[in-house]
Order: sequence, then C-alpha cells, then structure tokens
Amino acid sequence: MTPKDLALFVVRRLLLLATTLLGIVTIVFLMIKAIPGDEAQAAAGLTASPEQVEAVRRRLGLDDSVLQQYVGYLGRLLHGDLGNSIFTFRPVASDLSGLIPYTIELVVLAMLINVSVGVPAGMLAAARHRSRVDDSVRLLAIFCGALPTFWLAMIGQAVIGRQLGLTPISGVATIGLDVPRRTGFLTLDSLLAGNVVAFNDALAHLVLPAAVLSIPFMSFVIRVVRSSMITALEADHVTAARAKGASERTVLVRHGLRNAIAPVSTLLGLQIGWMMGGAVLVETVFNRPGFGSYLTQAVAHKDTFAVLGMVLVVGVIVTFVGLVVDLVQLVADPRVRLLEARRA
Amino acid sequence: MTTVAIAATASRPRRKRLPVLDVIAFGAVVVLLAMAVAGPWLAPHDPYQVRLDRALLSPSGDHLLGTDGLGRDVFSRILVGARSSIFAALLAVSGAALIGIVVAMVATIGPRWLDDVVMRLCDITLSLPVMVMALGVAVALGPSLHSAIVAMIVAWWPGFARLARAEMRTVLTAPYVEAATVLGASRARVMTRHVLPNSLDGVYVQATLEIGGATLIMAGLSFVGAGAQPPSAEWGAMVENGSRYLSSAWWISTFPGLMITLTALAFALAGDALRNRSHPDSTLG
Amino acid sequence: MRTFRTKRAVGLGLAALALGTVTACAADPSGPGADGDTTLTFGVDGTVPNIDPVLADNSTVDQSVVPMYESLVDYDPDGTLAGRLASSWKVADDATSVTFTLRSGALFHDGSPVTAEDVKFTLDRAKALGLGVAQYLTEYVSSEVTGDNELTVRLAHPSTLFVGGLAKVYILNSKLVQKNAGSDQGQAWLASHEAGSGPYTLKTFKPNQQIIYVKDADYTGTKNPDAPDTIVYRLIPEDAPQKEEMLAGNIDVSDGLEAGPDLDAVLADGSKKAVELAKPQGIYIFFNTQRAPFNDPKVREGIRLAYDYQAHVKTILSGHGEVATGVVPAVMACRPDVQPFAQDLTKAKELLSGLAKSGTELHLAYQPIFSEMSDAATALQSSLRDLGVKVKLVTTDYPTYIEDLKSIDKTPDMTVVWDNPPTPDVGSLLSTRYTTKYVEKGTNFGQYSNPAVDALVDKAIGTADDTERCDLYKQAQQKLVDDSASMPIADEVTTVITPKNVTGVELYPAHVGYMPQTYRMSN
Repeated sequence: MTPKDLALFVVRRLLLLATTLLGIVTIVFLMIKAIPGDEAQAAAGLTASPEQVEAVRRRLGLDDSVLQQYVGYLGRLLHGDLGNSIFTFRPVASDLSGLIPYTIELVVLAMLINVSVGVPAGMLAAARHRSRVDDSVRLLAIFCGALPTFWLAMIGQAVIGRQLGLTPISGVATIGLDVPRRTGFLTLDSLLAGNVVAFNDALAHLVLPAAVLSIPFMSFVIRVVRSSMITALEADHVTAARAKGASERTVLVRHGLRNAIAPVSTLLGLQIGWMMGGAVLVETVFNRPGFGSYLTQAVAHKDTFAVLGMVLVVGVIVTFVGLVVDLVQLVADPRVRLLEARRA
Repeated sequence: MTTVAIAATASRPRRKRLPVLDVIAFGAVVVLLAMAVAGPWLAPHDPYQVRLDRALLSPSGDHLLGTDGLGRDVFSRILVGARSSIFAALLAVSGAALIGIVVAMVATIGPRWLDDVVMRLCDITLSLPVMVMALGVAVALGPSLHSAIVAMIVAWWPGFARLARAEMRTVLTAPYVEAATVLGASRARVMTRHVLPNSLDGVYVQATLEIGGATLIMAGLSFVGAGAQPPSAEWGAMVENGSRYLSSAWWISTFPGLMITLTALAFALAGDALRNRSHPDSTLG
Repeated sequence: MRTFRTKRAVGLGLAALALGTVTACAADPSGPGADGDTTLTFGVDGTVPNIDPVLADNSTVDQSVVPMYESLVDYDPDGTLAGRLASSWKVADDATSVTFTLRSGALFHDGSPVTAEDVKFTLDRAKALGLGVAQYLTEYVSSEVTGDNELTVRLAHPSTLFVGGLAKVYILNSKLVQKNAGSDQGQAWLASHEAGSGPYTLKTFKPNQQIIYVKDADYTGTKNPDAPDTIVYRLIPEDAPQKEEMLAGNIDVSDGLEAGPDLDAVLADGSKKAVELAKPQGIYIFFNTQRAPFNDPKVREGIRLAYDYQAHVKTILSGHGEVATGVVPAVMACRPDVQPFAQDLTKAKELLSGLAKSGTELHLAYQPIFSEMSDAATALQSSLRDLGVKVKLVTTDYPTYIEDLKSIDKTPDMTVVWDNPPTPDVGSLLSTRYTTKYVEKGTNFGQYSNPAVDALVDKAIGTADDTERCDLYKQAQQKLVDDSASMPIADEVTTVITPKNVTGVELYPAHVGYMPQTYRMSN
C-alpha cells in the first residue's frame, strides 16, 4: 500500500459519504413534500392562527419554486434547523440533542453484550464444527433471531423486573438520584460526579433493556463469526500451520478470528443502525427517553417535522458509523479494503 | 426451547444439517400457510364478535386460549390473524424482491452511470433502519397495515437489488451466456432468456429467509401503532392490546407473541434448509 | 383536550416502602428531604414535554403546573367560584367588562409583588399566542390597568361565562418572563421554567420523565401546613410499565388503576386506600348531523339504542364510571332528570333497518392511542354488524380531528371522543358543542344546528338570575337528548389511590388531574 493509494481511498470514501448524506436529505425533503395537507399549517401546528401560518409560509419560502425551496431547506439544515415540533413546541434539533445520549448509551451497552456473547459463541461453534455443540449454537442463534423484541421486553419487564425484582422496571434513573448534567450520558455524568450509587443505578436501569435489544442481533453475529472462521480454518495455509504443530488455540485466534474481523465489523456497523430501529420498541416498553420513544410519540401525534428530523439524524449517524467501520478495517487489514476500492 | 430439545435428540455428528429438523421446519411453514388460508373457516368463534360479558376469561374448553379484554376468543383471533400477519410479510418480501430484481436488471443492462446511480440509491436507503423508515412512511400515509407493507417494500428492495445484481453479473460472464451473445442474440434476449432464469436462486432463498424477519418487523410496527389497526387480529396488534392485562390476563399477549416467534423460526429454518440445498457446500448459517 | 395523555386504564400504584428493589432503596440517600420531611410520589399517565402554563387546557399539563401557579379565580369542590389571586371581581351591568381587585401582598417566587400588569401581560400573551387556554379568552379584547392591584377587562360580547374560564389561566411573573423571552413571548423559556406565585416551586423538570416540586415557605395565599414538603411526578405514558411500577410499589399516589386483581393486590397490605372521584368528563359518540344518514334523528336514535352501556362501564371502564344520564356529565349543575341510556336491540333493529338495507358503509373515527376509544369503537362496530349495519373503523388524532371539524364534508360519520366541558359552567359546554355559531369551528363535534337550542342557550348565557338560567339550560339539554344530538356513553370516575394518612383528595371541578397542593398528610 502506498500513501497515494491510502489518500485515494480516503478521498473516494469521503465523496461517497457526501453523496449519501445528500441523498438522505433529498429523500427526507421529498417525504415532506409528499405528505398530504398544508406544509405551513403542519409546521406551525394546527392551533396556529392564520397569521402565524402565513408567517411560517414566508419563513419557509413555500411560495417559491420547489428548487428554491430545496436550496432553502439545505441552508436551514446547515444551520441545524430541523423545524419545530408541534407536540413539544420546541425546535426538533434541541429535542433530539437532549435525547441522543440516552439512546447511544442503550445501543452501546447492547452492542457490548452482543459482541461479548455473540463472538465467543460463534468461535465455540466454529471450533467444534459439525459437533453437537455446533448444532446447538446454530439453532440457538436462529431461535434468538426469531424472538419479537417488544414481546421479549414486556415479558422480561414483568418477570425479571417485577416478579424477581432483579432490575428496575422502567425509566433511566431512580427519582432523586440526580447528577449534574455535563455530557448527557447518565453513566458518564455520574462517574464524573464521583457518584458510585448513581452510576450503579443508571447501569441497573440499562441492563435489561440493553440485553433485550441485543438478543436478536446476536443471532447474526454468531452466524457470521462461525461461518467466516470455518472458511478460514479450512484454508490450506491453516492446514499447513496445523501440520507445523501450531496449537489449536493459536490457529483459532491467529487465523480464524482474524479472518472474521472484516465481516464482523461490517455487520456490527450495519447493526448500529438496526439497533436504533430496535430501540423504538425497547424504549417504548421500558419508558426510557430517547430517539425511539420520541419517534413513537411523534408518530402518534402526527408530528411531521419531528419524525422527519429523526429519520434524517438516524441516517446521518448510520452513514458516519459506516465510515468509521471502513476506517477501522483499513487500519486492521489495509490490503483488503484497497483491493475492494480499486475493484469498485 | 422445543427446537433445542429436538436438536439434542436428533443430533449425531454428521456432515449436513438434520433432515428431521428440515422436515419439521417445512411442515411448520405449510401448517402456518394453511392457517393463513383457512383460518377464518377453522375458527370456533367469531373473532370479531365483542362479548363484553365474557371478557378476560382464562383458557378453558370453550375458549382454548381464553378471551381478551372485549370478550373475543383469543384462539379464533390467532387463527384469523395468521392471514394478516403472514400474508403481510409475504407481500412485503415479494414486493421488495420483485422491485429489487427489476432494478438489478435495469442496472445490469443499462449504462455504467445508471448502475452507479442505482447502487448509490441502494446505499442511501440501506442507511435508514427499516423501523425508522416505516414510521416515517406511516406518518405520511396514515397508520395501517397497507402503509406498513409499503414502508417495508421501500426499505427492503435495495438488499434484493444488490443480491440480484451480483448474481446477474456472475451469470453474464458464464460461458454459455457469452456464447449466446457471440451467436448474435440481442442484449434484452440474453437477459430474459439466459441471465434472469439463472440468477434468481439466491433471491428466492434470501426471500424465504427474510419472511421471518418481515413477520417480526410487521408485528413490531403494529405494536407501536403504525401497522394493523383495530379490530384486526394481526398478532403484533394483539400483543399490544394484551399488554395492559399482562399481570392479570397473561394469555392475551403471550399466545400471539409465541405465534410470531414460531412463524419467524419456521421461516428462518426453512430458508436455511433451502440455502443448504442450493449450495450444499456452503457453511453459512 | 387530553392529547398528551396516552392511555386510560393504567396501573400505577403505591409504595409498600419495604418492598422496593435494590435500586429503589438506593434512591433515598440523595433523595429529597431529610428526617421529618414528607414526600409523595405520583404516577402520571401522560407525557409532559412542556410546562408552559398557556398549555393548561390539556389536563396533564394542567396538573403539572397547578402546584406552582395561581389563577385569578377557581372553582372550589362545592362548585362555587372563589378568588385566588383576585380578592374580588365585579361584572359590569352590561356584562361587557369585568373589574378585578388583586389580593394584596401576593408575591411571586422571586419575591416581586403580583401586580395588575402581570395579569394584563398573561391575558395578552395567551391571546397573542392563540393556543391552549386562549380558547377561554375568545371574548377577551383588552385590559386596562387602573392601579397596582386593579384592572378592568373588556369583552367583545356580554358573557356570564368569561370569569369561570379564567380558572386555568395561570398568572405569570411578567418581568421574569420578559427578561428571559426572545421573540417568542417566552415560550422557549417557560417550556422548562416557572414564573408563578403558587404554593410550590419547581425543583427539577425532566421533560417526559419527572417533575419535582418543593413547598414554598413564603407562599402568600391560604397555606396548607399539612401538604407534602416535596411532590414528585413520575411520567409514564405506557400502560405496561406503569402497571409494573405500581405492582412493585414504587409510586405512592395513582389515579389510573383498574378495578380487579391489580387494585386488590395494591390494597392488600392495608397501608393504602382508594378514593373515588366522579369527574366532569365523559366518553361520547358524535354524529355528523349535517349529512345523511345522520341528519335523520331516528337513525341517530337507532345507533344510540344499539350500544351496551352497562357492559361498557363494567368491562371497558372496569367499573370506573357511570352510564351517562344526559349530554353533560352528571357532576355538573343545572341538569334535567334523564334516565341512564340503555340498550334496546329490538327497537334499534327497527330504526336501523333502512340503513342496513341500503348497505351504506359508515365511518367511525377514533384515536388509537386511547384504548377506551378503540375498545368502544370496536364494541359498537360489533353491535352494529349484528344489526346488519356496516361500519369501518378509521384512525384519527386529536389535532387532525379538530381540523376536520372545520368542514362538514371532512367530519366523520361518527367519532368516539372524550369530552370535558371547557369550564365547570354547563353553558360553556352547551354553547361550544351544540350551537349553530360553532358549526365548522372545531368545537361543535356533531356540527349540530337547531334554532330552538340556539335560542335557549343564548338566552341563558345572557340571563343573570341563577334559577332562571338553570331552567333554560335544562330545557336545552332535554331537547338535545330527545333529538339524539349526540350519543353520551359514560361519565368517568377516577379512583385515586393514596397512602392511608393522606386526606383532602377532592374534586376541584375545573381540574381533572391531581391537585397535590390540597392533600393533607398526618402521621
């Protein structure tokens, strides 16, 4: 790999990112246009007076041509203006920025559980390929993938939360346990405040929702780890390494696991986006503030700009995660990505 | 749990997956499809008949799975709900697959720039999670089972388009296709006679695998109120409807939840079996 | 008016203090209050994204701002209108202006005095924003400040309803709001801050999660020394988690518990009690009376006779209600004697035979986020199907519904909706819901127009004599019942569960939610 190749790759990747972002913005703009009814009325809220509606119409430039409106929309986005929520009576952007940390906390913990259970399980199955263990892990993986998240959340809440009393039932923190808000991440803020009780409390509120959220995703991780390791372990050079007397553990980690890094990181990158979708269900059941519960409420109240603002923000997050995944892979195994980049 | 038990009793070290399990999976799919078709005739009670005097009865001989908060027979509703739950998933997946195939064909036949544009569009759509996308569509079209299906098609076609395009490219370079081209067959003829029929196996298998996932998402959409609406007996809506009785009348939510799980499981296993048949040496799954 | 509230029939419960989870126990170290301080935790079945008191027409917002603010006047539990920040008021002889005198010595929480300027600012602001409580100010024109403690409010038309409508118009500290206001009349700031003079101050507000209030030692109104020192609202909109929190005992006071096993379980250990409050609120089905088939009173009557009211109360409301006995809720004054509505399938079949034969499919709109509405809609659909009448359920949401009411064409054939009178004065409900001038205005839910009713209601509103006015209102209501103008189903009764040492849980007619500042705690 030459530095030129690397630079080329990064430039190409950034260009892709820009077009994807523009694409998402365009889709959301078209969705706004496609929604039936008066856009100014929707933006001003149905209780707005005719004068207020007219003021909004002028501010949004709705009398201009569609192209001008599109340019204006892009301009407002650049200033972080996602429109106002008719339900919270606040700018959507400020609503969302307050909620992002809650959802990220949930998704990150779910991802940790996902990886720390899914990867070893997949490795185990691959190491014991064609054994009873392999069959059971595979079936378990398929079974996990077939569980409806919302149903699991309800049952988990009733059984683990209430009947067994092992975890809090709902919410993000016990009332009265307040820590100064710095980052917005409850776990981080309580650590910054040196408040161990609050940290444990925030974590306790996170565990069950995160576990429920992670279960369907584990199914994919197990299967991808397993299959990519099996492919690697059957390769000629691995047979050679075995013949040379490398220990089974070395073979498994050196050759098997390394081969799984690229497909697994690609999968995990995709899963971050899917998890934000899954959070819609989990946050609703566990009464956690966040993207998901905001989105369901916005849908229930037909809060157009809140919903579309969410779609946009989630799209942007997913796109950036994709970029991060690519960069991670580039660092982990530059040849693979550069080859792909050339081929594309 | 049952599937694990089955696996334990039937599993001996062997090269391929257990045919017993395959048979059970295909059997379950057939039973579910039969339920979706014949559900309304099999139901012992009228699934939409509100009987407020018989609300929240626990499972008994007359009401095998009890009654819900409006006195409707849960068993009958599950039978009838199979149609909306399973057919909606089938419709969403086949719609997405069909669009995916058409788009892939256009991308393959068309000029290079068109291919680029289409693939970009795929990437963009794939960056929006299905659930989020679907809620956006639900706001635009109003919440209903139809909008949920439309939303899923909108969100899922790119996956199929990518798969079909990849397979078509492979087939295009196969010797017999190149032979046909050399013999002077038109590009369109080559596509429809040779490439299309030989590149869809993967799409079929993928579609079967996705039906399970589609059932889950469809139920999730109904659960948050963006899918099927009352008095529909769609299973996700039934789970939602029973959620407020979970501590006093557990049967209302539990049984439809189990049905969703069973359906997703049956289609996942059946899809897996299909894939193993079409690619016997594949180790995926 | 209850769009923020999510589902009814919710379960919130009461703390069996020793039974909390590990984390619940961990709460108290930094929790509010040292020894001797009293805290009550309330379960609130709704979402409160915003605590701007201009939105207090919504009952969930109202109960969230009522501990912190005062209005000029309010209705006492016995139904009389009494002064709060106003020590007295006088309606001019021609009823086109009202002069208020403010309570002397009243202070806002920042120590500044409550003046007539503050009242003027509050009224002007609500009117200018045109949302929320502005609906009670339709007749408001302007205020003239005539002294620190005195102002005169001018009205567009003579109205005996205006003063009662001020019960939920909470007076703002104008200087504080202006200091923090941008170009938005302080909407952004008031969304998460308070500027009131009420018995409690705001300690914490986490939108859609929790609100914590602390008793203000310097409160200048009538003090309630036994009120809790700290009030905590936990906002839990979904049914299932609420019920689970209740059964786990993490909440002291709740008003959404269903009768049956859950209620029994919560009352089982003997530390709590249940108080039943009949509320000025009911569930109705409104017809589009301007369009076939419901322009025919016989068809409306047929639908009304098809529904099983007893079963609605017993099963759908789990006993938390009473079958309706008129077009206004039973707790209100000036009602005629009407028998509870009842099902009569034979007569219904006869009245609806024409409709059944025509094969017309009727649309019944409901808001899916409220389970009582979707249950009622489903039950009515099933009853009518048995009579051969086809009904299609269609979903709506409150803002859309109000918008649709602005046109007869868009108004659904039938709609199931909760309704509560704008003010506890029966005239406010009769005029906005059933008179011609509100047709296509968004409040006459049935687009109902009947000159005889118009005449009676208008005459009543302009009548100063209480007995005479009451009699006119009764006549109007009887006409509405006879004409099947709407289909009232049931009046709601709310069961409030509190610890046994709490008293003072009473219904304040203008407020359907909690009034925690009136609760008294004893040892």
